[in-house]
Amino acid sequence: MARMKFICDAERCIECNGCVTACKNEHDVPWGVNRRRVVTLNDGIVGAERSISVACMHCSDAPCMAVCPVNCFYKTEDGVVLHDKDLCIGCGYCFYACPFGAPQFPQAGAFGVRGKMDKCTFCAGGPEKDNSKAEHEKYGRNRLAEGKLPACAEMCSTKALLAGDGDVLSDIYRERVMRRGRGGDLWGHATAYGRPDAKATGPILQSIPQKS
Amino acid sequence: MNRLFALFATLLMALAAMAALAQQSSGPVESPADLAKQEQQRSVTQPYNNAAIWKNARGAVEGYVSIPAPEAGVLIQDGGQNWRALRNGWFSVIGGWALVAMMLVIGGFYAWKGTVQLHDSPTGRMIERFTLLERMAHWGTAISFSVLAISGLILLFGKTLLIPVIGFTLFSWLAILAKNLHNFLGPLFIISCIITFIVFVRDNMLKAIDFKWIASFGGLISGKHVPSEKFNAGEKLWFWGGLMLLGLVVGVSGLVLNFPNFGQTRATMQLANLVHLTGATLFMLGALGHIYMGTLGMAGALDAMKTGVVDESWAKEHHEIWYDEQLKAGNVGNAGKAVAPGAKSPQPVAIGGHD
Amino acid sequence: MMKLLILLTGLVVLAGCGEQPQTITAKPGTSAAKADDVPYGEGKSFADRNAWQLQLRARADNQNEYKRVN
Repeated sequence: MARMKFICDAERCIECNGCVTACKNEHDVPWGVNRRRVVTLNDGIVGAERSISVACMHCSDAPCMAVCPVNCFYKTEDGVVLHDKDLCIGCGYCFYACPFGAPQFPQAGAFGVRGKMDKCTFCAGGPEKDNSKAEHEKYGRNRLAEGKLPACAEMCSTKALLAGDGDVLSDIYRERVMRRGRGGDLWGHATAYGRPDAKATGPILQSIPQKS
Repeated sequence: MNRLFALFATLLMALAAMAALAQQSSGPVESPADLAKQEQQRSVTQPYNNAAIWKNARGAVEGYVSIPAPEAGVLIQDGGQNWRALRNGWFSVIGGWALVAMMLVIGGFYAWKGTVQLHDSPTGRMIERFTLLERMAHWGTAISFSVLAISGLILLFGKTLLIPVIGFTLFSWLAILAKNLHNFLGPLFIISCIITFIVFVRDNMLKAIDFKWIASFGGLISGKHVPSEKFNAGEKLWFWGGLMLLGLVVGVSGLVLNFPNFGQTRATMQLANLVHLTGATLFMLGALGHIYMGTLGMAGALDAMKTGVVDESWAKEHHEIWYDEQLKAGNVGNAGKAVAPGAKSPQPVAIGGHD
Repeated sequence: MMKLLILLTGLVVLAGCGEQPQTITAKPGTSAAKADDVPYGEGKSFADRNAWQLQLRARADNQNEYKRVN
């Protein structure tokens, strides 16, 4: 059984915001609502700058689901976390709970009154009939039902952002890491196993007592 | 008494610690600038080793993002999971069972004592106890409180208790109604609380006699009579601890949650929500006791708040010091029409009581 | 009085034992939402679930540019 996932390769993301734009355009997302965003850490520091494209990660144990007072969330057979906007009451609890800041609320009145929650659907629409007008208006395009993958990943020019069945993504990523010849983002590998000719300059290598 | 205080302090501290825990993330151990420098070195000696970058990603470190939304630059916020665990766990479970326990205790108490009746027969001479303003302030607070309590309970426990009974769609309608009532009546409740506070504060000043009342538990268990002023120490406790303190706690935390347009962070709102839950649960526990004493528990108490006048005997039995003052001032028998003993008290002034 | 207080505190603390496991088990039909529509079956673009999944897998595999360029 497929488990839909996103992977963002920080070695490849160039912060072009193409995924953000693709998402906005594909789903006609209103102003002020951002289903996807690109976060750059250490912005402008050469060698230490990395970008990551973030949206709903469709968690296995989704906190939004756990705190929703009306239980409007559901998970498809493919592991995509979706919600029913007809039931959403706009309380904002999913926004408090979400680690990734995925839930978005269009302002529905004065003083920041929240409208119905909007978030990344993995381009899988909502509970309405697939590719119906109602579904498109509420959740955007249902690309999955058309046999396509999320627009953000499919149009990523550097293929930093990957979407699809977790097994397939793992294979792609494994091959990529092998070709790089290094530990890549399998964090800590290079530090732990090192390179024989590496000079002991890193903080961890320095801490290891050297044989004189 | 000392040990009691220690216990209370411990509980309070545990609560504070839990709230702090909710906010704690695996936050920065090393400064972002240090880590960036480390990463720069590493990119030369160990390319593709990003460990120094991801060390802080899970925490409060904000990166650059082109979206002007608050906290959009945070990759992962840890507080949400803690908030979820506390809200869905301890806070709602303990709070829920505490409310059930309180209702059982009150039910048991009613079965034991029943309604406290007047010992003497009413004389028919009425004394004004609450002015129209006082009653309006009280019922304004009472009605908004009840609506807030019920809508809040629906939002917290409806998922567990109501959805299996009435189904998803109907409950969603109910929850939308509850949310909007809660959001719009909240500020109104704060205003009512302030008015009630101003109106009643003069009669709620703590005096030496009140400590005597507390020490003997209002004579509730011993059955011995303790004289009290216009308000007894129990009522004063409810005024200061309930209306003022809990009103402040629930009001401030509620405003933080109600107006998310001031850019407050999620951590602030998570904390505000837990504080709001705690305050509201304590408020509801107190209110259950207050409503019981005002209706079922004490004959004549509800009429006093409905009509504003009480019978001479009632005043003498429940608020002796206040009665003596009124007697001296010549106010006894001035209020309402003189009615024959045993007749019904004057028609209540039309104020929406929810009895 | 003290005994009663200790007993009550104990009860309150023990109430935590009633805590439910919080892991979500995503069973179809247990959510509030309407049943999700599936893109396969009679009159849909895909004959069955397998056909749809094969298409998605092929599409996901297309993201591997090593297979496409080299």
